[in-house]
Amino acid sequence: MTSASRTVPFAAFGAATVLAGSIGHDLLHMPLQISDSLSLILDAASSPSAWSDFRAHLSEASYFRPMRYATIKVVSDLSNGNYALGYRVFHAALVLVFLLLFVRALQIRDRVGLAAAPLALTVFVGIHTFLGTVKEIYPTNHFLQVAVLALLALNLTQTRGGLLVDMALLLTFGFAALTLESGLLVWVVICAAWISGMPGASRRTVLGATLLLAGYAWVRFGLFSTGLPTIEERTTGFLFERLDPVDIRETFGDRLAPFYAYNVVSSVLSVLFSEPRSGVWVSTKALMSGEPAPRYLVQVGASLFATGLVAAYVVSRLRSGIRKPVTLADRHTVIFGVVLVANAAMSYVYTKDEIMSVAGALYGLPVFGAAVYFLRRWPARSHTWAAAAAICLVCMVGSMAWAVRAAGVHHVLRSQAFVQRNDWTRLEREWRRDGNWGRYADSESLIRELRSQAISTRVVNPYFEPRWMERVFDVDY
Amino acid sequence: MSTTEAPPALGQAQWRLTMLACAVGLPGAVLIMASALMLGGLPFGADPLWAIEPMTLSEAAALRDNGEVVRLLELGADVNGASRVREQILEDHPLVLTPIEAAVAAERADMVELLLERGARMDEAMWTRLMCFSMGVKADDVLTLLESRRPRASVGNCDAAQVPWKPL
Repeated sequence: MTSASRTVPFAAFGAATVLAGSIGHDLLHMPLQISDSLSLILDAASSPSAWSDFRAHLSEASYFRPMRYATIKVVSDLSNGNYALGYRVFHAALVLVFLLLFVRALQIRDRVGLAAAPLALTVFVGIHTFLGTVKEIYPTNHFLQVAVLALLALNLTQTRGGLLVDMALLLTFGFAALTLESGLLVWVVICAAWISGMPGASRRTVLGATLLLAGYAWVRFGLFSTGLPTIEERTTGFLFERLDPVDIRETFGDRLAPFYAYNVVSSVLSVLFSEPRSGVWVSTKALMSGEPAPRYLVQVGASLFATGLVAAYVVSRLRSGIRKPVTLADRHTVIFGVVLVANAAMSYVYTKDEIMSVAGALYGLPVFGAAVYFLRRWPARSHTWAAAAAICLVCMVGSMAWAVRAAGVHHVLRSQAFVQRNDWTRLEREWRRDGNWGRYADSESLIRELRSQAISTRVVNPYFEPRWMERVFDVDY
Repeated sequence: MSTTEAPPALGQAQWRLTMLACAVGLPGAVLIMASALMLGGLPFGADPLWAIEPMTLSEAAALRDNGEVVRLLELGADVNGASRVREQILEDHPLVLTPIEAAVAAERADMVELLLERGARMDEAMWTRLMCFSMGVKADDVLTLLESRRPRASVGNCDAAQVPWKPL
């Protein structure tokens, strides 16, 4: 091994650590969120154990996420009373693991790979589905947890395999499936890895994971009669607006198949083209209004570049006579494709950027593979100067668009921090109105302490940010 | 020109590879280096991503910064004290306003409610003054809120009320 080849992986992991560090720094400035978090934090603080939380949430109406509650309790106990810091540090640590697992999956070995690594990292961080894994601390972000577990499973399938790897994969799947419904995608990752020929995924692994999946279905639907989410659960995007459950019923009646199909197709398109967002065609709507903000151009342009790169790669491989995956890039492309479809299928009831975070996390893999593939072929190609310059220009613009998107994560997190801190000032008024104040009367001192921590967290007022930021960077949909 | 003619000379090919590699990798690399610089500056107190602009209580009220309003009040700021609001926040020129006047000027009923909860004065004279000011700046939500907090003895006559300014 040369010194250069030893340095390259370190440089790639170093770059990932720096990006994770900058996002982690943001997260440490984020006040805890109230609407989806506070009651969970209070419940965890007063519950006797993680196991009791796990058991208490085995049987619920539409969702089956007992491990999520157990995780919240574990972090609660580990934070030793400093809940705000504990949950934020846990979140920041998960983001670091998330990025390191992504870079590890890329298996960067040489300088060509290293040259494409910044693009891969900015795609990974810049895609809008990533925002769902960082913008809110729920108090443990289950979308992030599941995406991390999916990447862990992928990394395990890239090893040489064996009994220990099999057991680790089954544990990963079990943990993910019990954390969030999207966790079932870990099973899809394992199956797709096996189909594509990843060495760590064997027939035995797939069989074991499938048995676990069957067990999950039996426990969820048979033993505890936990149903599936219905359209009555929440609002969702449709064409140019958001529909609430009543609107959906009025529009589709009982013939919901077209609505479900719309959600699935929207989810696929959203990852590939950044449009629609959570089901709403925001860029198209902005374009039709005649005043599209530059961010729409940046987002859709960046996605057209990256998806175009992957499409060109697939076409090139098929033209070369490759009919089944041979290289790591081939395998990553297959796995991403399968997970994308499965992830979108799981969004049939309602579509949301966060739900697609597993597919979004894998999107950077084929983009990286395609970039490295074309970089390696480039010296052997003979282009005119004009053609070469045009290709370089397209790559530069596409790569810049992704860098802008990745930089925009900080802007979104600052905006979220401002909103979430303000929410704490309305807490008492709103909780008294909703009856929560009485319900959590025993936790009043803890609520006041959390509120005090949130208020004392200094955040940036959006007024003092340059105006161009809100036009160029992404917003929270 | 064909793209499949004789392969380029080695030096030329290497140069082209470098160009394309830079085109693909440079923007992301710049972001990563900027992030590293930002992280490196943190131990020395430099934090460009979270640079906090100090503001007065009235500015916080005008800029819908509920969190900062509560923080400043808990640090001992006077909820009824007038303070400076720099130019461009509400008007083209600097103003001196009480927090509740700033909240009305910014049409923030939510902020008015917060300040009232926190002890902002609301006697007949102040109520009339704020009502007239709200009508002047067309703060409909604030008007609705103030109407629900109307003191018994208030008459609501704007003729003699002194409002911070009258919009054109």
